[in-house]
Amino acid sequence: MALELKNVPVSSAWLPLDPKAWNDDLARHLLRRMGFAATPDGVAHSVRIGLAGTLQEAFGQLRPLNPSTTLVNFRKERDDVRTQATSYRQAPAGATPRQIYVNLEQLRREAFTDSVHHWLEFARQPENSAQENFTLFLSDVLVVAFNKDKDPSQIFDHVDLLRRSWQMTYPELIKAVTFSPGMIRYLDLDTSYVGVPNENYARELMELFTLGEGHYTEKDVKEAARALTGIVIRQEEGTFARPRWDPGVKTIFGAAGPWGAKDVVDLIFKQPASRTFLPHEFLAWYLTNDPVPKPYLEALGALWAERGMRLGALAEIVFSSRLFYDPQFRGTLIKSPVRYYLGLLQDLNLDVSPFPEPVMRMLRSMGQEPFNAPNVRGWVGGKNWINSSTFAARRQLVQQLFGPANAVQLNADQRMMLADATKAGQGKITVTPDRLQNVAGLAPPDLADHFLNYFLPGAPDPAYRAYIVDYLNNSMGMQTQLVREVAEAVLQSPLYNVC
Amino acid sequence: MHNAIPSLPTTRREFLRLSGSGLGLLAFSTFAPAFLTRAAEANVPAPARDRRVLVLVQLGGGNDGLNTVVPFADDNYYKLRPRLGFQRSTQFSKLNDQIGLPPTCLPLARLFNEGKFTVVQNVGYPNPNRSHFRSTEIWETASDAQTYLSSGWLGRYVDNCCDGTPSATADPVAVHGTTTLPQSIQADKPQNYFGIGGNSRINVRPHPRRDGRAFIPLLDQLAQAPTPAEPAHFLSHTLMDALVTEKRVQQILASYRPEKPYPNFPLAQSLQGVAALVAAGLETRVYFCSQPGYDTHSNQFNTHQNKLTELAQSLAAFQSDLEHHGLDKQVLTMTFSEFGRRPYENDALGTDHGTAAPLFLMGSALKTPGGIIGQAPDLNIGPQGDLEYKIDFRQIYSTVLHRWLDADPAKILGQKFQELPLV
Repeated sequence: MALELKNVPVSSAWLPLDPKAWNDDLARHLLRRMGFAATPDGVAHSVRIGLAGTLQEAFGQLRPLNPSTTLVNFRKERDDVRTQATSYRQAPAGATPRQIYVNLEQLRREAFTDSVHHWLEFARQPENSAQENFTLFLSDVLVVAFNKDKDPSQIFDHVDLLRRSWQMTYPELIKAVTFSPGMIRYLDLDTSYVGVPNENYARELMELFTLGEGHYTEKDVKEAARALTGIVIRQEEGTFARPRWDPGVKTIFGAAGPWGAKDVVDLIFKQPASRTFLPHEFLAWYLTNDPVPKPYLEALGALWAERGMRLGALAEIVFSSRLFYDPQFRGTLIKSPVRYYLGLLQDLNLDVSPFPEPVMRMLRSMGQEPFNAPNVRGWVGGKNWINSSTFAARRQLVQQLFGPANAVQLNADQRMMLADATKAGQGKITVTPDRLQNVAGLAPPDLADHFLNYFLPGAPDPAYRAYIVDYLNNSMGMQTQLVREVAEAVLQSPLYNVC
Repeated sequence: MHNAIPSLPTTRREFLRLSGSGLGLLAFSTFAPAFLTRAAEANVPAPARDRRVLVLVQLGGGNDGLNTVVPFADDNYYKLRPRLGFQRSTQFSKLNDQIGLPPTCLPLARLFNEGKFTVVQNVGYPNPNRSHFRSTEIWETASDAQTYLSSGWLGRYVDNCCDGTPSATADPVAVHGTTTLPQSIQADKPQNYFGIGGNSRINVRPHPRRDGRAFIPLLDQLAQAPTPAEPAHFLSHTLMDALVTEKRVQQILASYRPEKPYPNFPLAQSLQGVAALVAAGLETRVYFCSQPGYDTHSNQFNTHQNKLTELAQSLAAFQSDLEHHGLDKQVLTMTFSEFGRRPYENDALGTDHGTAAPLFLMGSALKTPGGIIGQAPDLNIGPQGDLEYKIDFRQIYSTVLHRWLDADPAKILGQKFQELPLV
């Protein structure tokens, strides 16, 4: 469906918002879109420090994420196995080559799962949310997935490169990604050498990372593949191995020369389509599931190009723009599973469950395992997030968060993990009755307004509010019980699934 | 408690009653569950009730084939498993003069004698993978060991064969008894699936507040509140479809009377749920149940035999119940497991991840001459050897897709496999 932008003409769409206009509603919108949720405290704080201050806090300084313990162990084990590969005599006492291999395989998966879990815990902290949502966005464009690259260390190095790209220009990031071991492995660059170019990376580079279909020819792909030969992984670094490179003349976008990898990127970014590709992806992630009209996209691309295609600049332009805050963009984006999950935790002030495997399974059944997109296209998103089974999984999640903690069947390992998490102040995994105490005293209409403001984008139909008030007025039961049931219903309702 | 609150219709009659009582079909149709408006538009006849149904039972963890279908006449068996193997004196239910089922599987042996139980020997695939995750994925997606597919074989079946047919009911096309969606039914297109919850017992007398379901009537209403625009509108539809199905399924499960009580195993309870839904005439073609716990690396013997007891008694109760209700000819049940286990026992009196293993099918429509396909595994393999697969699991899938579900297997599996005399 083509979007109509009646309220905001293209000439003023990307102009900065008047700082005087900054209010609760706009702050809530920004926090929900830029991060995962808008809590009352967060909104009040943002209103106090203004839009510029909010963006500065969110992105002004890089917040580093250290690798998970399991990932560190995996790296060590992997390197040990590599050095011992020729001589198993040095292997741990009694271990057969088979066992070493099996252990390493197991560690691989654990390291991936634990690292995703570690990332969720980090991203769940409100101060990290905007940065990590942006990291996740980039990982959905420049996809590297565990289902093909089985080295979790490479995956999370790649993610870290994306996390650190805020000050980089997009061409610089693409050059770095071309030499990122995760990408080299994921799109087969290391199997591409002179005489036998593999077109996988060259094609996706143009189609899915920089230009989009229709903005390059088959010949451009073939020739670029030749230019992109010679990249290998040595000592876990992407490097250039000249003997494997095809030194011949290639013609890419009509320009002939003995091009190499960096030249390919430079040639791509001379194409006009490179200015609008990432902005298009950015708006689909942050603004609306419907395509933004071309003139708006081109205007944004031109502005971004003026600012040297710096990644941070793109976010700054959009998050400060008049168009972004237009009232028509409330409830226009279906929350991704990660957004839904982390948003729920923030809205309910709960911690990421300390059990990595079940968390992973839950995300998988909702349709999004972070850093493991189903294919190089990434997640299609929008309505594709929702079908009867993924929707059921979302509802199961809410019911789980509201379920009594002791009803969860825990095994001995899990009990220990929960005890550790509780000790570390991370043990709040379900909504306990005391959490609802402070709102249970509100009169039904006030309680309804509280929930609607707190949880939903924009004002719902009056009928929606009336149903809640009726329910509170006419149902029997303890007040805290009813409040809990209302919260459960609202969080499973269609409107909580959009932002 | 919330009786006064009107809620979504679950049947066409209720729908028509609501429509007739002033809401009006056209006015109502904007918010009606999709199936009702579709049915009203297309005037689709009620579905035939003799549809064939496939029930998959996953034996999670990797079932040890040699202690399930025991090659009791092979000396090598006793050599490979001096401590973990059965004694020669065991009273096996002999399936022929080579192989037999252990005493725990007596109910299955009875079905075998009645021609309602088929054993396929040495099922596997080339270049076996020993990771639980990956090998399960290979079985569920029906891929080669080197290929990665995201959709499941039954998901692709559903995409190919059940898509686009206007449905007169809200019936899910597949139902799973697991907490998360099994990859086997993961489809590329959105499909109407329904989960009846992992190992939870089926609740015969629901108690909304105690079951944590008291919010449902309110959710019903919130789903029906007018939504401003897309995409919330689309979400409302999806949710209403789900709520309608959920309510219907709850009603069916709660009111079902099996022939006699099923054993108190989670798998049996899931299968009772399946029987209830089949008996209710749902259009659902595929059911998926799972029995975990087959990953027996240590002290295997009793753990494993207990698992088989559960399996055998659950399957037998299911078959008997289906027969009692006259549904047995339309239901085919099939087991699968990600891999078999090593032929030789390990130091911890267990077995490690292996390769090929037997697979079972159950149902009154089976037509396997002699009830067995394939030979007993070759155990003359040396101390560290592995079993060699003889039948590709996709030959079985192909047969089931073609001869049971009337689908074109090559379209779903991407290549042709030689079919087997199963049904």
